Amino acid sequence: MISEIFTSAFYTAFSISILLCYRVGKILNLSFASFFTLGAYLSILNPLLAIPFGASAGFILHKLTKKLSIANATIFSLGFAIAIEEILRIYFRTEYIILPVQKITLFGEMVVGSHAISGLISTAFVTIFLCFLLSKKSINLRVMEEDLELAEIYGVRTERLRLIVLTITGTLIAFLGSLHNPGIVYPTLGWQYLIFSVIIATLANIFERAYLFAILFAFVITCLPKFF
Amino acid sequence: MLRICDLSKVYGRTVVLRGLNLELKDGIYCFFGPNGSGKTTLLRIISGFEKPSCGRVFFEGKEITGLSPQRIVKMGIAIAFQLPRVFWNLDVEQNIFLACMDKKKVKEVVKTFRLEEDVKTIAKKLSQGKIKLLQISMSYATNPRLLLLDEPFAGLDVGNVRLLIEILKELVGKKSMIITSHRPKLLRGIANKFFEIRGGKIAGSYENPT
Amino acid sequence: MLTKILLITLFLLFPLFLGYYTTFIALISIILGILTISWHFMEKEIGWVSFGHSVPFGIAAYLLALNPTLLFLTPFIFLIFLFFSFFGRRLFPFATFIASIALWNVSHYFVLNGKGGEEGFGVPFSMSLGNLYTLSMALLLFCYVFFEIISKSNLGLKIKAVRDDEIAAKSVGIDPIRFKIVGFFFSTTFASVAGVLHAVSFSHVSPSVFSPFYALFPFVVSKISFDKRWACIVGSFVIVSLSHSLSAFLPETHYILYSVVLMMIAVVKKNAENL
Ligand SMILES: Nc1ncnc2c1ncn2[C@@H]1O[C@H](COP(=O)(O)OP(=O)(O)OP(=O)(O)O)[C@@H](O)[C@H]1O
Ligand SMILES: [Mg+2]
Repeated sequence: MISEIFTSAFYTAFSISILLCYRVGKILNLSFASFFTLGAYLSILNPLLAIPFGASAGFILHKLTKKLSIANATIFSLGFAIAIEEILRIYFRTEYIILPVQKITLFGEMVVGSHAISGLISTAFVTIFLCFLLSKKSINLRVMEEDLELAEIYGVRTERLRLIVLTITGTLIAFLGSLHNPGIVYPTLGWQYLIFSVIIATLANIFERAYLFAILFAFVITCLPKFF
Repeated sequence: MLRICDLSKVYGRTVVLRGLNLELKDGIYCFFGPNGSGKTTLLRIISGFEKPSCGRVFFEGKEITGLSPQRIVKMGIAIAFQLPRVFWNLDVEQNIFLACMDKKKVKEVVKTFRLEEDVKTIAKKLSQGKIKLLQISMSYATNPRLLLLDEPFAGLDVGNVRLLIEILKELVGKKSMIITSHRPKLLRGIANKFFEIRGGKIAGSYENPT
Repeated sequence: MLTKILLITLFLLFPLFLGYYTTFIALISIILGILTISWHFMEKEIGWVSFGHSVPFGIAAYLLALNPTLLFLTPFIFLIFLFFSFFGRRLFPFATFIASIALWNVSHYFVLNGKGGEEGFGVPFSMSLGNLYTLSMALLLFCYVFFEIISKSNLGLKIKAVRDDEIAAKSVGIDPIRFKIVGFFFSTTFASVAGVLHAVSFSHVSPSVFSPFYALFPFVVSKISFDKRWACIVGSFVIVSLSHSLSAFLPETHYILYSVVLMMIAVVKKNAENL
């Protein structure tokens, strides 16, 4: 059960990032797939490298897509994702790299050590984010979700907020990629995690309180196989 | 021809139509009333684009409540929207052709509405007034027995208003029409009866515009 | 139109005399040309941009490999797109793309009688290259002429009307869903024909039929062909031969091209609703 909890925390963080980018940044950020892969490749050198690289990738993506419509921004993010993957493929020049996986025992259950760490980081992110949502400052975020133009009229600095959202989520995803060791790294690694999270985010986005529902759906979907 | 029984329409908490009753024989009718009184809503319900909250609509003895707009057009009721909806990337000729599927009829309609110069123009490149005319000509081209015109004069210049009135005059006695307008006086001598709508109900009917 | 068809035929006949390898590359280009033209119809005429045309393509290929009689299912593949169309025009490209990636991942685990998985399935029958080439060429020409005629016919006009404005279509008595279904049906059926040909020409089907290479191929080719139907055929030849000739130095060169085209299109076509 413990490993499921870590996994669901991981997917919650991933899908909340997607939701944030979609609702606030007005982009369905398909680049996350390659940010994740980027982090995974960098973990071979040093896991902490993922933070500056993820942040700058998010920042660049924001700069290049800030004036685009939601559809165009998404297409751009897809092109950007493929570009990063190809750079990785050319730079590392191998089809795949195998990484050692260490297992540890937590409360009497065998858990992949790196999954525990990424799960804890995800939990920290989700907790901080929920606290932020409860605070008064989150009003800007809400207004921007509702209506971009209205937010500008009310004096919300929408561009800065978008930059913050894209950079922070970019950093988070790359960092998770460097921590969440799947045992094998290849250029298209991130897509499977992205798809899983997009499905969770799509389901959650039906509801008004999408972020809370993301937690629920992530938990349900990761625990479902346990019951069969 | 058209019978409306106890028609109501509610959006959330706002009641737009409340128990509207109406029976119309063949002829031309004008509906007027303040903004938001429910004229557009009424026409959209008759043409099937909106479902009534309760009440029924009959056309030539058959119930048409809740039928799809496509079916209702085929039964002989066509609507020209207040805000024109046309096929933006097709030219005027194709737009009208889609309404009647008949090349001869297209020529005739184009001539009636004086759109000859623009037959090959893409709809999105037309001026607003021409788009309005195109919208009306399309609903006319479906060859309906009852034509619903929602604010046909809005956005037209004097020349085009006169043209439209001439066209309407020619149709007197040939087609039934319901026309909503904020300028009922324009329809003097054309409309058989004028209905005032207020608060989602018929507030009065007149033989002459006041 | 006749001169265009003649020119295309000559262009397609040419590679037949250039040796086995070139003919094979040309065959792949022709097959992907069918895929591109079917996609092009979907975008231009029906007004839906799909980033997942690898779905009908790949499903048809898998059906052939599993059991050729299963191919009777291909006419129903349009239902998948019909389902995704409920997400709206804006999200349709990404919904279909995610679907194709999901299938790509899932198909790795698809095993039957100890076969399948990453290795894929063998195709139960084969054809000589010359015959296959002629067949594909005929199908490509048929596909081209078919869509050319459809888009000029009354049916095509109605499909375009539904693309432009569904409410306006309803107000003149056109049922939007019916014509959307007809359009999707044509497009996916030709995409699945391409999938079947692809499976036969490699006599093997693996999860890669769902990969982004096939999912994004029609979009990229159609864009570099300036949305012209005949140019899609040429564009398909260009991308396939580029990717094959450069693969010795740089694996998966086409993806670099893809990313450039995607980013360019997103920036250039600023306020395009349907791209
Ligand atoms: N889709 C909708 N959702 C909520 N309210 C609506 C909707 N459509 C119309 N209304 C409300 O119904 C009321 C009547 O609108 P309607 O357009 O029928 O009035 P109208 O008489 O045609 O006005 P106008 O003269 O301005 O054209 C308005 O108050 C409007 O706010
Ligand atoms: Mg109105």
